[in-house]
This record gives sequence, C-alpha cells and structure tokens, in this order.
Amino acid sequence: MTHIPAITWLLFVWLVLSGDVSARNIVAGILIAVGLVTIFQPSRHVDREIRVRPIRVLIFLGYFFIQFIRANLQVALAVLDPARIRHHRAIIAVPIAAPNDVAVILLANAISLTPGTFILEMHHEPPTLYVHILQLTTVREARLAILELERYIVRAVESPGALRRVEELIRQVAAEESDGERWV
Amino acid sequence: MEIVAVICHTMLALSALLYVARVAFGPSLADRVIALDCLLITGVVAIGVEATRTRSGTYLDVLLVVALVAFIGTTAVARFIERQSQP
Amino acid sequence: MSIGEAATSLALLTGCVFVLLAALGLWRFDDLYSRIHAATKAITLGVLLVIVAAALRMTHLDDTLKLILAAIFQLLTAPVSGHMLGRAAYWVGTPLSPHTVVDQLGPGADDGEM
Repeated sequence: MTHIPAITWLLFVWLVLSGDVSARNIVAGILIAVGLVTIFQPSRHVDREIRVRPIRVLIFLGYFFIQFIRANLQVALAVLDPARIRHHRAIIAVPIAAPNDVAVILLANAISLTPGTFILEMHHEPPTLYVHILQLTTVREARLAILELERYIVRAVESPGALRRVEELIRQVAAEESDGERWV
Repeated sequence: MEIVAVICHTMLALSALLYVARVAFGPSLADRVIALDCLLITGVVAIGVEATRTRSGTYLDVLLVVALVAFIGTTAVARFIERQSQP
Repeated sequence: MSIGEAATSLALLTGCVFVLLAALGLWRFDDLYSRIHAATKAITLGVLLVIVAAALRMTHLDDTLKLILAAIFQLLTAPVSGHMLGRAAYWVGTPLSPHTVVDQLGPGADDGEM
C-alpha cells in the first residue's frame, strides 16, 4: 500500500481532534484512516522522481511568508485607497515549467497568497498559468515574479531538469519586450 | 484583555454586517458566496478571540468544524457555478 | 500587562483589523476578482494572527495542537476555494472591471477546458 503518508496524516488529525493518545485510540485512528483511504482512493499519480530538499523547503517557506505579509500590506493599502488599483487590474498568461504535480500545486496555491496575484486558470499543452493581477506594472515584471516563485519551489521539490527549465524561462521572459507597456 | 476583546468583537460585528450586506447586494452568485465564506470565517475568528480571552479550549472543536464547513460549502457552490456554464 | 499579554493583544487586534479590511475591500472593489484578492489574503492573515494569539494562551497542549491544525487547514484551503470560485465565475462570464490586459479568450467563451 502506497498510501502511508495519507494514513499517517489522517491518524495525526484523528489524534489531535479526539485529544486522547491511548493505545485504543491509536488503533481506532488507524482503522478509520485505512477505511477512509480505501473508500476515497486518493490518486496514485504521484511522480516518483521528486527529491525533497529540507533546507530549500525552509528557504521557500521563509520567502513565502515574507511575500504573504507584503501581499496583505498591498491589499490593505488598496482597500484604503482603491484609486491605486483602479486602472491596473489584468489577467496575464505566464509560461511555467511544470516539472511535477507537487510543484505545480504548490505554485498555484502560493500564487494566490503572494502580492497582487491570484491564480485563475491553467492550461497543460504549453504549461501556462493564467493569473489575475491586482496592480500591474509591466507584464514582464509580473511574469518574472511568478517565475521567481517557481524557482524557489523547484529548488525545494526537485525533479531532473526542472531547475534548468525554470531558469531558461526566466531568461526568455527577461529578454523579451524590454520596453513593454508600463501601466504605472 | 477584556478591553481588547471588546474592541475586537466590535470590529468583527462591523465586518459581519458588511459581509451580510454583500450577500444581499452582491451582483453575482460568486460575490454572495465569497461574502458568506468570509462571514463564517469571521465566526471562526470570534471563537478564537473568545478562546484567547477565557484561556479555555472548550469551543475549539466548533472553530474547526465551522472552518471546514465554510470551505466545503464554498467549494460546493463553486462547482455548481461551473456546471451552470455547461448547458 | 506582561509582554506575553501585550503580544497576544496586538496579534488579536491586528487580526481583527484585517478581517475588517477584507470586509471593506468587498465593498470598495468594483469587480469580483479583486474582491477575491481581498477576501482570500486579508481573511487568511486575520485568522492566522488570531489563531496564533489563541495558541499562545492555551493551557493544554492538545488545545494548542487543535489550533495549529486549524491554522494549517485555513492556510491550505483558502487559496483553493478562492481559485475555484474565480475560475467558475470567469467561465460563467462574470464581468471584469476596467481591465488593462487580458491574455485569454474573451469572457464567457467556453474553452472546453473543463
């Protein structure tokens, strides 16, 4: 059974919710966890070739936390003075290197909590994210910010060749339209 | 701590009024659902403030359940809206 | 008032201020997608701050663990529900406010992406 992580997590949640760490409760938790996993069959399409680097994960979490605070400051300022964003909303397409499912999910969730960005849609053929921007400076800068976020993630949850693809994308986006329209 | 709790609850009550107003006025269904989700989370925050003031964990289960229900409800309505666009 | 109480009070007040800011944001922003921005981010920070304040003041460890669980849950699910709402609303054709750039097919056009 490859659902060990899911079972462990469910067991932990059960123990926290029932507040009682006796042997009987642990057995009950395991039974319930196994039962839930058999009924709901979480997807088994997890790529096997990802390597998790704990230090990079911590670095990513630190970066993410700072960005989360900045996102809220931006929202606070925008609420107090909506003229800041009145003409600066946008939906942009961001090409990403989608190495594996875990990285993409992390990226999508992280985007929704970083300054001014919010994920709206995702296409698979050329892996692209469609992101709603609250305060657009230039399209290029917004794309670079998201690709920067992806670089942190790809360093934390690595799969072969991913880092190289992300950095190549960063170079590509940085090179094009260097005099793109500036909305601020 | 009592004064802080009173100030917090006043702010939360005001927020709740604004959310309910958005539920009533929101031009689209999605507006109403977002406001409802935020209203439930305001309830969660109110329980948190009370737990901080009384230092007792009696109502934390309620906190968890309300947070869960808010998420599940919002997701359910989102799927409903999605299905509306497919004739 | 001790340092711990001062820190907890500050966290509580800031958290509730952000909840209020989110409520104001739902009124002052003119289209759904901006409101999703305000609702998701500000509310999540508000909840996190209040939960951290409460966790610091709990006397039993299992209460603290329950609060930490609630915090993790909120952090994980807020973006997901906001995204689902935004996406569904977009494909139904919910209007954007005076927008600057749209790099996607016109609103309401069914891309068959679902």
